[in-house]
Amino acid sequence: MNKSRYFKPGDLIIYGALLVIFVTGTLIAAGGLGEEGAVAVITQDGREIRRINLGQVDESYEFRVENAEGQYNIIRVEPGRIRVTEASCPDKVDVKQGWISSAHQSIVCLPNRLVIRIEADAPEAEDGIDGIAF
Amino acid sequence: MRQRTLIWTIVIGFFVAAGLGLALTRPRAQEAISDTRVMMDTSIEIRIFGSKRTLEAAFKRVQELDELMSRTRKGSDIYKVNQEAGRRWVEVSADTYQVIETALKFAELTGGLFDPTITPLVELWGIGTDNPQIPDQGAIEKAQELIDYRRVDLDPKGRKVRLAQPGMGLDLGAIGKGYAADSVAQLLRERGVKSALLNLGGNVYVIGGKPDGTPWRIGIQDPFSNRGTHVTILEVRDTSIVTSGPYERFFIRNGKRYHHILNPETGYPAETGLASVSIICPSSITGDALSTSVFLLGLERGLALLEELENVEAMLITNDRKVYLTSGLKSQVKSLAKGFEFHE
Repeated sequence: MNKSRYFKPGDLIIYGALLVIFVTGTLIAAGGLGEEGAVAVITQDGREIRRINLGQVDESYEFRVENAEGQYNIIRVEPGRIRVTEASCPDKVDVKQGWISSAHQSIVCLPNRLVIRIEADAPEAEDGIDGIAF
Repeated sequence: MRQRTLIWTIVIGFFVAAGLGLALTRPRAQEAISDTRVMMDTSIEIRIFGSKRTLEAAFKRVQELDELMSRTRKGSDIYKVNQEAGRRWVEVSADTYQVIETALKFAELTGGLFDPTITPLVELWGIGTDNPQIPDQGAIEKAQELIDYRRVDLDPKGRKVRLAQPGMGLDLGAIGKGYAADSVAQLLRERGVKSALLNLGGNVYVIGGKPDGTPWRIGIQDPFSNRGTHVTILEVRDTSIVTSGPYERFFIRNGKRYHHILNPETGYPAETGLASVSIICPSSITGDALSTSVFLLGLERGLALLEELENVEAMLITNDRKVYLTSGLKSQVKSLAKGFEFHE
């Protein structure tokens, strides 16, 4: 039997291509690819105004968002986490809440109609809490 | 031989198909879709294991109910009923009618401490608005005269509502979110959703357990700490957890905190020694109404009311950090955050 019967140059390309697809598919299935860390989505009055991949943040920074009435929130971003550091709202619930970093967590500033939430494919919270009744 | 090649192709093809199949089905089977939006004057989080379309339908349902039951939104059922107080009957939606009926039931159950005609006091204090104030005694007494749940007339046949006197007003704020949670849960179940978590401004409702078969882990807010800090964690399936406390909406004047749970008998925010009340039961409207009712009744009368009810569990936290549990919860709650202790 001759080896070339199984592995003709043309076949080799096909086998190779199929193998690559198989490996890629398996990797995606295992969650090895597509894992990019937590993504924070910021919406104001229901409109998405910013989307930040917290996994790709190397240096901390702050920015200010202002709504139509001139009310503002200052948002701080650090590698892997996000918070509100200052706000014009009277109750400061958003500022007091501190950092969020895990899947489904959110900071809401009701008076300014601002929502920061972490998307579903982020890592789960360490304490394993799915939600909080308040 | 060509046939060998064919066999190899089939074998490898099988693995490719298997790999692709795994890649495509895994996220659908295990990943949630969710969103958090500002609605009903609060934050609404809906997380489902289902389609984007179903998620949108769920938010739409919340929007519809807000448009029917908001006190301040022009054109809502409640707005119209309040506008016509002392004058005309107003036909309302089946949803609104049901919520009013339930609210009146709890008013009766608490001897009027929980009263959906609290509007004149709510407006007087303005807690949660830009201009909260401590009203003078004369104004409080005048408002109190307009609060009486027995003067809400209902016509079940025509689904009509009328308030007996001008100046009276309905406010379903203490019960509307609970109804919305029940209603959204029903919509999701009808669409075949087996696993979901709703959080309507702190009112949690879970459908099923998590897709991996484990129960949902829901924290109970520490009433003395910042949002997100918990006193304990409950493991639950198919239930609602509603917490009421004075820490959610308030203003501070002369070093004193004035919160949003008003007592119609005193005209002031309720001071009953309770820091929070959590109700765990399958119906969120019941949980919502009960958490406020028990908060207003206080520890002893609140516990007595809870004893009479079936399928209702509760966790009460006092201002001196004692935790009271109904019997059904005692086996579930094993540990508390630092600084809290069980009442023996």
